[in-house]
Amino acid sequence: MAQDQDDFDRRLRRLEDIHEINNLMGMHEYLHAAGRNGEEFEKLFAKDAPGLTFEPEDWGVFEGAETVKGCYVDGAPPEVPGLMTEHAATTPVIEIAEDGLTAKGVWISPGHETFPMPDGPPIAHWSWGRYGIDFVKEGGAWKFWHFHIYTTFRTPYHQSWVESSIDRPPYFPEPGQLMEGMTPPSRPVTFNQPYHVDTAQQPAPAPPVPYRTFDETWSYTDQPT
Amino acid sequence: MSDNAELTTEQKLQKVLDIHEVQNVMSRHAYYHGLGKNAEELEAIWVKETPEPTFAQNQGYFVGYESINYYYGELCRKMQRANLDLLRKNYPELDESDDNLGVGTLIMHPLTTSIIEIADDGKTAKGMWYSPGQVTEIMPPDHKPIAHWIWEKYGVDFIRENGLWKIWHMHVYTDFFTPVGESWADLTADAPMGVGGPPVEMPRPDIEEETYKVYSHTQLPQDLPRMPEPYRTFSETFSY
Repeated sequence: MAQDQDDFDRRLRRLEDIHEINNLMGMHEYLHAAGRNGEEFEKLFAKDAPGLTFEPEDWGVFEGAETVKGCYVDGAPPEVPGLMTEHAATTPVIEIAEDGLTAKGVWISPGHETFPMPDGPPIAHWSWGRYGIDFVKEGGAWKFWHFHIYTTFRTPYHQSWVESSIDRPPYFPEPGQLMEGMTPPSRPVTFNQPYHVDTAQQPAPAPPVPYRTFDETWSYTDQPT
Repeated sequence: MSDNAELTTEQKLQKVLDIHEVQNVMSRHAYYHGLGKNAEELEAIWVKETPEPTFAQNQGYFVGYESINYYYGELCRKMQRANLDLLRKNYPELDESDDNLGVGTLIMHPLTTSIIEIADDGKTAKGMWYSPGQVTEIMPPDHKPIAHWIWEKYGVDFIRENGLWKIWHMHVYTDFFTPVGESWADLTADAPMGVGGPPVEMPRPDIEEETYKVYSHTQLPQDLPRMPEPYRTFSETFSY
């Protein structure tokens, strides 16, 4: 009977964990769109956990709380009129480790970004990507631990991603070019593959599979095998 | 402030089930509205007995059953009829039967990026969503279908009535509504209500208040809707 109750409690805890992780991902999207990266970093990132990493698109891997903050907070675009970004989190695959200490998830993200331009009106873009994220429980709450953003495409609203892959818009920064104020990355990009007409798409990020403890799995900011 | 650790196992299990049911109610809204069946939606999944339901868009709040039934329900049907009449000028082969209401239109408001919180007392819930959507509607001056992108956010309060979760306060925050192929940075508008443009007279909100702004070159990012946070009972939180 006690074993039945333990099993019930464990399954209930897994359902609660899955919901909390979905909410965490939703909070990331809302706070980022509102330009509240600093607040998001303080509340939602595992600042005290060993091995905190952040790998956004083609910028490289940022390791440790100070460096991640130097990228995600100090390198965030300034909140100015004409800026608007929204990244939706859809199609989740979430696995909670059997030991309840870590979790893994992937999402597909359709989005849009509107950037103010120095010489003219803001330009609207479609921006689609994917997320591969490891989570860790810190102080009883789920936090972002290894956060990887993969580019699918970014293209002006009126131009297909096929065209933009062939004829890159001239105002786009060079791949890996740091934003003003951004801390340099700790190590190079592990994987990022924006659409290109002559490149076969690699299956990344890999959706997580059930696992017992993090030792058995990989990090989303490790070099994919 | 809620503390989940204080809840019994039974309460925790019920919360998880409630989260799923609230998501289903919101998804049913998307399906009803996508078919232009707003009146049927009000009948099926909105409150019937709880005081002061509200429906809000960027331009303000419609408050109470009579106001919502007309603006969100009855007007949708009238607009479908008026749009069919206009469309038939270009497609006279269409007959004017009710079976053709909604012809030429296509409405999808998918729900993503959810944050859902159930009150500890199990009586109310709050949720917000992103919706990357598209709306094809009959537009002047040619009265032909025109395809649009529409991105919105939802902030919604739910309440349990007779054991079932119902929509109590729904607030739609529109970021842009713009024809496909045109930039929302250059041209956008407030969202339409229901199917089609406004070929019938639109009532003004009961509370006229600019609650949210569509994108413009000079608009700062808006920190709305407010995210739901864990709570014990509705009196300690806000209303959408």
